[in-house]
Amino acid sequence: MRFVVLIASLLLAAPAIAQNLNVEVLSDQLENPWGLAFLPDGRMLLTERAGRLWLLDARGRKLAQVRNVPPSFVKLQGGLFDVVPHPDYAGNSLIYLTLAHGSQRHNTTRIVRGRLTGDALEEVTVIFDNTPKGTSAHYGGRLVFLPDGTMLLTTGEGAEYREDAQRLSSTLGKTIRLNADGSIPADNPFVGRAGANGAIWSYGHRNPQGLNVDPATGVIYSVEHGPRGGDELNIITRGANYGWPIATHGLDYTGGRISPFETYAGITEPLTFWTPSIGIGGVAIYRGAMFPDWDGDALVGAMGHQHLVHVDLQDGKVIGRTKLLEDRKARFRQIKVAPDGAVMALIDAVDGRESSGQLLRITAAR
Amino acid sequence: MNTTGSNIARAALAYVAAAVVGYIVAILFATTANLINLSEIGARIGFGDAVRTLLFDLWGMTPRFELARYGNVMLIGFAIAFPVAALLRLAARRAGALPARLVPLLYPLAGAVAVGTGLTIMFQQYEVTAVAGARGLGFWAQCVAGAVAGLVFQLVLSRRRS
Repeated sequence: MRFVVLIASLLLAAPAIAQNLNVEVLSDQLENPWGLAFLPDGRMLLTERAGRLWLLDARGRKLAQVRNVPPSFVKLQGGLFDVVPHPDYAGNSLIYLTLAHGSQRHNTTRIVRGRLTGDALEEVTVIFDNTPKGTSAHYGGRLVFLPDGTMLLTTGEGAEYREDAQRLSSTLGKTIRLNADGSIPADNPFVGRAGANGAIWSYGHRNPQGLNVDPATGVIYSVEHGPRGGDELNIITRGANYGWPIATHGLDYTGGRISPFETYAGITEPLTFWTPSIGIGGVAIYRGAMFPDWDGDALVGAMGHQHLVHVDLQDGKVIGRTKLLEDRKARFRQIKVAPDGAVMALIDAVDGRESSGQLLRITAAR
Repeated sequence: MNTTGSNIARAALAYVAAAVVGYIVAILFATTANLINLSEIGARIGFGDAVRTLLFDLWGMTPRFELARYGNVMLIGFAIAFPVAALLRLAARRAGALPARLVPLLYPLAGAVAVGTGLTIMFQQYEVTAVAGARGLGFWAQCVAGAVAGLVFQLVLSRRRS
C-alpha cells in the first residue's frame, strides 16, 4: 500500500517538478514567428512566416524590420522560414535566409544570402533552390552550419511527391549539404554517382522542420513530421536513408497504410517517434549552465499538441520524454538555446489566435 | 408497406449496396496504386505484404466518427450525388430531354463525380491527396470506383422495381 502511495505521489509531483520553469514573454506582437538567431552583439534576428525579418534587441524588443528581404511565396505552409548568421558573422555580416520561392505551380525551398548593413540586407544572392514542386506544403526549411563551415538544409517532399524522398535525382525530402557559397562539397556522399544530386546528405525525409547540431559533440539532430502518427526525432548521418515513404510508423490521414512496413532493411530508425503525432516543431540540443540536468538532452516543440517536450538522452538513447508548458496553449514552432543558457521558444496560435506569435524566454525558476 | 415506404426502403438498400461495393473497389484500386508506387522506388513487396495492406486499408478507411476517413467521404458523397441524379433524371424525363440511352449512365456518372469531388475538396484544404493511391492516374481509378457504386445503385434499384 505504501508503495502504491509513493508511486502515486511521484506521478502527481512529476508535472510540478517538470513545470518548475520561469517563462517570460519577450515579444508578443508577432505573426507566426518561424526562425530565430543570435548575433554576437546580443541582438537577435527573427523571421515571421508572412515574409518579415526583424532585428530585435537582447530583450526581444523590435529594433527594426530589416529592409530588402526578398519576397517569399506565402501560402499555406509557405513563407519566410529560417534565419542563420554565417559562423564568421562578426567579420562579414552575412546572414542566410530560407524561404518558399515561386508560385503555386512552381515553387522551391530557397536559400538566399545577404549582408546585414544597418537595418537592410545588401548583396542579396540566391545560393540554392531545391527541386520545384506544385504544392504549397512540406517545405522543410531549417538551416544550420556545421563545425566544418558547411551548412545543412532540410527540404520537405512537397506532400504530393512523397516517392521523391527516395529518389536521389530529386532534392525533395532530403537533408542538403552545401558550402557557405552554395557550392557542393566534394565529400558529400552522392557526389559522382550517376543520376544523383551531389548536394544530398541524407534522404527519405517527409517534412523536417527542426534541425540542430549538438555544439559539444557535433551530432546532428533533426525532427520531422509524420502523417497520422510517426513524428520522428532522428540523428542525421552521412548518406543515410530515413525511410519515408517505404517505412514509417504513421498512417495516411484517411486511415490507410502509407506502406506495409514500419521498419525496412537498410533504413535508419528514428531515435524516438510519436504516435499519435504531436505536430512536431523545432529541436534544440541543450548545452548550457542554466539547466544542468538537461545537458545533452533534446528539447522539441509540439505544435499540434501544444507543448514543449524534454527528451532525456543518455548514451545516444532516449530514456524519457516529459511534456512541459502545456499551460501556454500555443504551438511551439522553434526552440533555441541562448548564449546564456536560457531556452528561447517561438510559439504561435496563442490561445487559439491563428496569426498570433510570441517569443518566450524560459529560465530555471529560483 | 405503402408505395412511398417501399420506395424509400428500396433506395436505402441500393445506397448501402452501392456504398459497400464502391468502397471495396476504391480501396482495392487505392492500395494497388500505392503499392505500385512503393515498388517503383525500390520496396520489395511480397504477396503477403500486399494482402495485409489491403485488409488493413479496408478496415482503416471504413466510415467512423471522424470526418477525414475516406469511407465517410464516400458515404456523404453518394448520399448527395444519388438523390441529385434521381431528381435530374425525373426532371429530364418530364421535360422529355433525356435520351433513353443516357439513362443508365446517370447514376454511374453521379458516383464518379461524388468521389472525384470528395477527393478534390480534401486536397484543396491541405494540398495533400488524402488517399495516397488517388494521385495521378489513381484519381481516375477512384472515379471509376465511384462509377461502379453508381452502377450498383442503379442495378439494385431497377431489379427491385422489376
